[in-house]
Amino acid sequence: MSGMHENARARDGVREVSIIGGGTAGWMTAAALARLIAPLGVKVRLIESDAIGTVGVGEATLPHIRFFNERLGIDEAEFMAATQATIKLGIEFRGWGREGDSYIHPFGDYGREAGGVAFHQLWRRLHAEGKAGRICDYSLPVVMAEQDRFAPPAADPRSVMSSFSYAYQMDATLYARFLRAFAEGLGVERVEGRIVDAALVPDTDHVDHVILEDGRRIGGDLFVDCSGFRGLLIEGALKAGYEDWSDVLPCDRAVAVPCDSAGPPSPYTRATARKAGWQWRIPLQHRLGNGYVYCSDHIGDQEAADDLLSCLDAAPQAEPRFLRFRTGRRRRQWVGNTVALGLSAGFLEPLESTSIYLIQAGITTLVELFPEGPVDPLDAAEFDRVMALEYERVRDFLVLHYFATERDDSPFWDRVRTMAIPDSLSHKMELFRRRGSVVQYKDGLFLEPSWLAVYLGQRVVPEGHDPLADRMPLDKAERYLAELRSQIRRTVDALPRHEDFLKRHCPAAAA
Amino acid sequence: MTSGLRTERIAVLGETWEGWLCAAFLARLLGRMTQVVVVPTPQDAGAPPALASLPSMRGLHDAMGLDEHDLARACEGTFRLGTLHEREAGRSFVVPFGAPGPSLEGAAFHQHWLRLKVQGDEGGFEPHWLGAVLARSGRFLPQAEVEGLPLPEYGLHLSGAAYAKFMQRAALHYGAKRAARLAQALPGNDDRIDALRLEDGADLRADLYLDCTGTAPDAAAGWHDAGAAPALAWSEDSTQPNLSATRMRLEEDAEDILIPLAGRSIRLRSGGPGGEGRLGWQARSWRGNLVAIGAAACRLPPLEMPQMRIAQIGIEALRGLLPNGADQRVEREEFNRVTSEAYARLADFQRLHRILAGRAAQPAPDDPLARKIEQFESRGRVVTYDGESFDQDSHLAVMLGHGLMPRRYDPLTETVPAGEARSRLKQHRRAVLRAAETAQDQGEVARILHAPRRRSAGGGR
Repeated sequence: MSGMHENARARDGVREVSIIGGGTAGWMTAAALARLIAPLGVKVRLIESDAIGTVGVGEATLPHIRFFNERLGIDEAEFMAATQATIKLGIEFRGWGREGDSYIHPFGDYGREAGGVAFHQLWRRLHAEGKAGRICDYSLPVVMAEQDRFAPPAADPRSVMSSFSYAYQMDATLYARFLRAFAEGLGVERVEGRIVDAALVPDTDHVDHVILEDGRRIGGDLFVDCSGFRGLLIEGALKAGYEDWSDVLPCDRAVAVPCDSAGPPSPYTRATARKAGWQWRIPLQHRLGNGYVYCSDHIGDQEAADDLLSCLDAAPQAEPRFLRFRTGRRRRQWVGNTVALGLSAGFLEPLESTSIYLIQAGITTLVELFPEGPVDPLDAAEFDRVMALEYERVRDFLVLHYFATERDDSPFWDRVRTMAIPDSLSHKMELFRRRGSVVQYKDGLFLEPSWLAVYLGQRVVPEGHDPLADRMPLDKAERYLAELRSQIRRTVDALPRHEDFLKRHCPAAAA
Repeated sequence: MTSGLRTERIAVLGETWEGWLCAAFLARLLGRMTQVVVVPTPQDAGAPPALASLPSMRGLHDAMGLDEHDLARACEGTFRLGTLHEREAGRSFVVPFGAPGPSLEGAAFHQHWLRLKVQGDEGGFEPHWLGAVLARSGRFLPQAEVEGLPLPEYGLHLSGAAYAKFMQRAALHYGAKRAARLAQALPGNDDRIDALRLEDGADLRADLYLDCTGTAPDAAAGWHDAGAAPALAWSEDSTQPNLSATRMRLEEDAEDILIPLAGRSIRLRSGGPGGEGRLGWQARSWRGNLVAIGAAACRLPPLEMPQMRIAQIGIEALRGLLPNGADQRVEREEFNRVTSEAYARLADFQRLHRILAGRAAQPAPDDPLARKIEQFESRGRVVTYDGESFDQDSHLAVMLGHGLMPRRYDPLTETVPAGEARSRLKQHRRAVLRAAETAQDQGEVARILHAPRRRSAGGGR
């Protein structure tokens, strides 16, 4: 061992991290670095301006956020109360395959494998003969969602209560505020100010400092760009480039408006297909979040806003807010000593609530690759590889929602129904159509049940099934399915109502 | 379309160990739905004197209703806890199966060791890895109940001839048939086989044909070439250094492998000119209605004994894609995508060994292996991809084993005070030691497993 090892040397490397921009991405990053990296003697600061609004993305989340909060040591009930959070068991998709259709994409399994054959193959065989119900009837979280009931999952794998997971529907602005208090409590320095420029170390792609409106200069050894769509550092200063995916995901605007609740909050998000895009409905404890994601080629802003306002459950609580975006991914998400997280890294519409997940995946990868010493370009390349795969696999899954449709009632749906899709998606669809098999991969967010939910929910019906499903005698298979279905029903009937669970577990203060 | 299956017959070309394995698996899986017929061919490769499996092979054996203890008993088997790689100057390392220990405070187990190691006061990693300790000391712990330690996993060392015979019995028992020898395959349209003309004059038609002859077509279109095949020399060896590990020595131009069976060992020397055919794999091992499985699809050097794994890759891919009609295009394409990816990753794992041993060129920057080496060397982070046969732990063992020391460790380890980390690793090593002491010597295990079975009072069958 030649004297000092690299970790020790590295102490002379990254000692200060500057996060550019608050909002969900910024404060999630600040909280995670404060908890995980700051104890190693690294200073974490976040620069944001109260004058700049945040997008407040991702009011609906994926189950992964629970592990993020857990790792930070955040108490669930406290967090839920602070963010007006409700439980999310999945997303209901209305009108996607055809107008009038509806299905729920749940956080959980369909049925149970029997005799070495995937459940859905067995189901497909019986369903084709009219001997099975909807596939949803064999999913505990779907039935829970439909009946507005919830209790936490069981750990015992033999229990049917272990067959699902859950996430939250929350106010992302409150979440950012909650994480800000958490991060500041752990010593993160918040700098108030508007950034007007960034200076690079001459002849390098390393940011030396950023310059605030009042002339202050703030340095850092590592910069995390959480400045949102514009990518202040990653694009503005470093020209990382943007891979545009609007050919397969053409929606480029959204209009959002909260409204009063019109009843107890349902434990699921709703995504309703509209003439030129889709509308979200996210029930929180104190209100409903609503928005219309649309394609500006096919509808004007005013018309979209009017459309949205015309189909709210109750009175709007604010003026509609407009957002513009371009779907795609920053070609390099880590350049020099700058890492982009959140909207500055790329944008995928919130159809499957992936925004916060992608921030989280970026944070996890950044922590794994945290450059203590001089930033290693190999780590930047590895970060890009891992994140590119994440973004691409999510992209394909989102594209499936638009492409797998029979809708021909508007130019928008004609466009997406007939667009050219990535090969990586077409081969997956072809395999499913042919025999109901779902392509498996090791790294990637959406697993078999998710693909199944969307395929089957949007009328991608397999021509045939796995021949192995024919092994079980028909009457036995029928009994197996019937028993499963009634077990799920019995289980759900005995669960508390979702609103009662919230009242007991995590009541939020009146808003 | 309601009834999915229109595959009435599957013909398995090749009365080889792979052929009988496929036949047994399919006959068991498909029962009476499909007839499975094994057709011997003049190209049939003989069974290798010894085979070795990975722990994941157990899933396949389980699916056939075969208990691995019964298999071991019938095939001169021993339990394979890992591979012992002997290097120059008496140095050696083990690539065991299973994980070394649980992660702590968000950092992988090995990172905590690494941290103390780079600070200069920690011994080697192996004593922390129960699987490695058992593999090196010739022990076996079938049902470990060990405090906080991951369960060691194991594969099997088997006599190839006995395994072929065992699978033949299983296949016939499950309803597979054996036909007369192949005289000629009668080609149809579009790369398809129309029928097999047999030596008894009959024509056998099937919906799907499996090429299990063990003979790869020479550099056919789509062949991913990996160089000339080395000469293979098998011999029997009475030395039995260690029943728990495959012993592998990487020499200048050869690999010297010792596979311990019950009561004898098989030595394989691989290297030098004079080998048959080429190494590599078929990018499209399913063409028309003919699916190549095993050595007919992929041939790699014997490093880490990949033959059984290669067959397993093909069989498992086929299991998920059994065609349900005459049009097999979609299944074929997916099969070829999945298997060629898996063969490439398997070959990469071997190449990783060779690169680290200084016997193969460093990977080019865009080579997927480059990322694995860079990331480990830089910070002890293990990168794996889709389609891997060997998991992160195996990669870890190979890289550490060849002496690739990361330049730094995961800083998250520092959330645990150094003193505490030291004592936790010490505790872990003690637990490994205690578990290893309760483990049985595999010589003893083998004596019991392979003892002549007492006949029942009635005098037997």
